[in-house]
Amino acid sequence: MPVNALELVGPVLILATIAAAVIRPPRPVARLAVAACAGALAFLPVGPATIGAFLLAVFGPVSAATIVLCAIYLRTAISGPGRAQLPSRAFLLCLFVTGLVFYSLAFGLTTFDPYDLGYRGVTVPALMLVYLLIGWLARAPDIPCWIGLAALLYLIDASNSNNLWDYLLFPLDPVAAALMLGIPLARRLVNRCVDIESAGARSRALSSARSPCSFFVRVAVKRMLGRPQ
Amino acid sequence: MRHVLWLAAAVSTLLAAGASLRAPAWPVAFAPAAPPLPCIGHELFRLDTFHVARPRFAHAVSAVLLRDGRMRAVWYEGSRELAPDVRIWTATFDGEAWGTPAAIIGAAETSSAIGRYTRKLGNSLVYRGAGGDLVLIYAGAIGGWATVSLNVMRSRDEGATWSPPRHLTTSPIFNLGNNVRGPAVQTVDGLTLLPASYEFLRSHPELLLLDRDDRVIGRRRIATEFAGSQPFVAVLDDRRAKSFSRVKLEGYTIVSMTDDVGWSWTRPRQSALRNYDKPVSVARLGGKHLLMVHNGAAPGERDVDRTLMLSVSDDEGESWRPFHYLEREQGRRAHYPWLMAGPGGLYHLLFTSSDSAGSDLIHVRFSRDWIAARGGPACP
Repeated sequence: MPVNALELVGPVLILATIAAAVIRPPRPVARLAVAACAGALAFLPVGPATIGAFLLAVFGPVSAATIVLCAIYLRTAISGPGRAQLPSRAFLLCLFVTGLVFYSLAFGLTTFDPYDLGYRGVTVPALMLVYLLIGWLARAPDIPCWIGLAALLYLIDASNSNNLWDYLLFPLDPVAAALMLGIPLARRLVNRCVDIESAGARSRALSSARSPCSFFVRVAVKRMLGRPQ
Repeated sequence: MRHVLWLAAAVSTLLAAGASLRAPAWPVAFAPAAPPLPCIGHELFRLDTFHVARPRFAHAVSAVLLRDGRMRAVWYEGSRELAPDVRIWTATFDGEAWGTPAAIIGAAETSSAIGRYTRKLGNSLVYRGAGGDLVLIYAGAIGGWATVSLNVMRSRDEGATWSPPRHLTTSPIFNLGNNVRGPAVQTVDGLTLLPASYEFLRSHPELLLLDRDDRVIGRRRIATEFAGSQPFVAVLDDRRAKSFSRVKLEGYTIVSMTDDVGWSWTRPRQSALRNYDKPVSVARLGGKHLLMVHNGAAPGERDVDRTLMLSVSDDEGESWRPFHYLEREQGRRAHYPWLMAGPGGLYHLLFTSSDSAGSDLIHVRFSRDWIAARGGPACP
């Protein structure tokens, strides 16, 4: 059977996303070129295989959620911070909670195997409809993108898999969702510290055990995230 | 525009639901088992080395009966286990002698065919699919055994030529960790149940369900306790089967039972049978009698890892009594047995004999009369 070209979408998007996150030229055209060149690296032969083949061997094909997350990030990174659009909190929460439950059970801790539900029956499609309802209520347009794309990829057998879960979730999706949910929280924490400082309460913030952020935590968070805007 | 997005998502989800509802259900019965071998009128027991691989390492042999009565064996071989030069090999036995072994595929050809880097190859398993083709499942890895994933090839000419490999998606976690050893089991509706181990981080035995196109369409866990692996599924009747899985270093196998064609399994328990961290192989002898080859300890033996022994059960595997210990060469390990009814109306046992200098593949043939003469169940 020939190589499934659709599976290469994952490595291309992941490489483009990493490049867009690391290299940030001032002009949008340059940022687009950086992302496109990085995506093209997936087809570059290195030793016995291409970079895309290496990524596929380690991670396997990605899910619709990964594609939507990468697409949103790329759009934001290329168009610039002025037009920033992050994934909705509802989408990220759906990914995080589903991933937490699904992958915990998928490791084989119990005889119940949620992965088997993805091969047949109504359980996973019903779950997808629930996600759509959540997206509708939360007015999150990325959720129909995720669910619709997953259903479409499943119908065209994009990843050589008969399991709906393979199109819905990828192990790194809940990790990315947790980070995207956690970083704004951390920023808020830093903001709070800065507010304390600006109110002239610096010494109290540094020494008080009741303060939510110690000096070391604050320095670490600031170094990770940069100064909050 | 937004309404179109929501509508498109809902419609495609409903279409996916329709496809999911049309997916094949879990099978309702195992395929009828071949009748057990009759006695041939005289005792026969013969042991030969059919492939000398030393100083290389040949291992994990499996075999299938061909339409013309020959037997085809498949194994992996390289400079050592999980070496990058490991290839999948095959040879045929015509009832008298083995043909010259030939390589089927290596890691580089696998990589280019499936579009994913494959650094090493591992266990292989050959069986006859419901459509009559030979099917070869083999493991490819990028690192250790935890990083294996499965590939499948088909042959329409009894193994003379093979289709390019295709990657199987069997696991939700990076599709890593599934390996094979025990023989596949056919079902009445033309599906295949493939005993497999899940070995990513924490191992357990499971069953993969494959359709006629060798696509995975179901997966059930056999047991999650005891960290078992390499299950052998012995079919008892059209719905019941017993699974014997390897566990590490404990000196027993774990046994689970199903009475719904592998959909659900009883809580695993330790077998009374001795077995030391190696897969076992089982054949039906008719009635409630089973024959098992396993790694046990002969009386007085201390090095329990190095003896293959044959045991019979008269109660569908509840209790076992050993009746023969295969003699071993000093310092060599006999392990990974493959037991099947084959050419000449004989039972054929293939296994690995290895030491630090490499390994050879051994072929033992014995008749049903030989089993009966050693205290096994009488000839039918």
